[in-house]
Amino acid sequence: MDTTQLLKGVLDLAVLAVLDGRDGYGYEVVRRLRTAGLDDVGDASVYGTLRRLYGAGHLSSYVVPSEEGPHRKYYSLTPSGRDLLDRSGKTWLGFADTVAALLDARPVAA
Amino acid sequence: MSVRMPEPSGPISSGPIPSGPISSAPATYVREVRRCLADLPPALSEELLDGLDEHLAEVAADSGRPLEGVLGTPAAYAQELRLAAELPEHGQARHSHVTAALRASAERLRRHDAVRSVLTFLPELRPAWWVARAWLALLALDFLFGSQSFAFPLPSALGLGAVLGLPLVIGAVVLSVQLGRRAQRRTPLQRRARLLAIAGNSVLALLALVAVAAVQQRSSMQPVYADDYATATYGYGSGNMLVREDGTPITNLYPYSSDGEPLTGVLLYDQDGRAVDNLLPSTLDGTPIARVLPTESAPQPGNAFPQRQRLQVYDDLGNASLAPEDPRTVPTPSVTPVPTSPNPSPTPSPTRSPEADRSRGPR
Repeated sequence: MDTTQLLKGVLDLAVLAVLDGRDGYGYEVVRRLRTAGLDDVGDASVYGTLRRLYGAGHLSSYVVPSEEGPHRKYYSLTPSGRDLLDRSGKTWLGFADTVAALLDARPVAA
Repeated sequence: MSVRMPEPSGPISSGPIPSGPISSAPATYVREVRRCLADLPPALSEELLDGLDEHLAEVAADSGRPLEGVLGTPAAYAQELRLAAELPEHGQARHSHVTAALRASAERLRRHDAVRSVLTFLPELRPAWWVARAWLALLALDFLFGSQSFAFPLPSALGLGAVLGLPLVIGAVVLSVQLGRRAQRRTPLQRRARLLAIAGNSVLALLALVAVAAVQQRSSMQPVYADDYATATYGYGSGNMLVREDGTPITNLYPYSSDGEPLTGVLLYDQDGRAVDNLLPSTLDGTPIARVLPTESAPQPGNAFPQRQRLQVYDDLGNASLAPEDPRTVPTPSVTPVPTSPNPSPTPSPTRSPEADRSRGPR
């Protein structure tokens, strides 16, 4: 199954999750997602998602000057972002449980 | 490594998406991405691309490879950005340029904390609005079919007097509240009824502004009552006030007899028999003049001269009060008063037709 299709639906949730409790800049978010196992996540997808969540008020941002490289724009969850994470998280877990139950209910292959 | 992207000079071309020239430097790469997003409203694309230079510089520095190799073509990258940010596909944004920008700023406004708290508070004001609109509706009816003026605080009940006004207001409030509660209970109104309700409410809200303005104007023209005299300022009506050619207002008239005696209580009429009472109710510098009427005697007609007047003055707090009587009410008579009437009538009656008096002049 193509994971990019699945990712589209849950990228918001994944981005919010990796920023929960630990602020991060764009490329860092990409790396955290990949380290967590979402190898196929596209750089532009993450960046576009960050900007959209920021535009919607779910993220705030601040710039941290970096000595060896370009400035880094850090993102952190706003209260509305944390709220979205809670709600989306519950939805996802319920959905995943349902699908898991469906898979479990299969007649065992001979 | 620090890479600053030069601002593109001149308007960005919105031509077809380039098929991706080979570019490795982040600055060039970002410029290509920008070009592919040039059809978006500037506000949207700026919000999307803010910080992208730094981000891509980091990616390039980390991978140590040309960006094309890591991220694909700029066109593909731009397309992926669009999808992730849920922006319109290439070429679809142009039509709704303005509306999209408006909607974005409206959405941003709605997210603002202050606006949000007001919006959540508004429904609580609904009952107050129900009462207000009942009263406003009565005012509107009153104005249209009754007095042609706003009566406060109660409508004059289509000219039937304030006694009927109170029950009418109560009835209208009850009706309005019932309407409001029903509209609230019932699941979505029909579209047309809903539009009608919105239009009606808007008209009434507009009327509220007009009414407030009218009240303000009225209160500035209220008569001022002094302790020992009833006084009243003149209405600011016609604009055809008596002024001299140089613009100096004529605020009072002092009739004299042919032998130099000052006269009092002289009624003046013009050539058409109209009472001459259109004196300017303020001095040249705009100070309002109040007419002083003795309280015990019958009300004096507006064209009785000379008039006793007092200037209306304001203290530091803006409270109106009347200055002591204007000294000009007792002017020193000139030695030879003019005009001298050729054949003075012995006993002109003020009630007589002024037409007849015209040639004879005042007593």
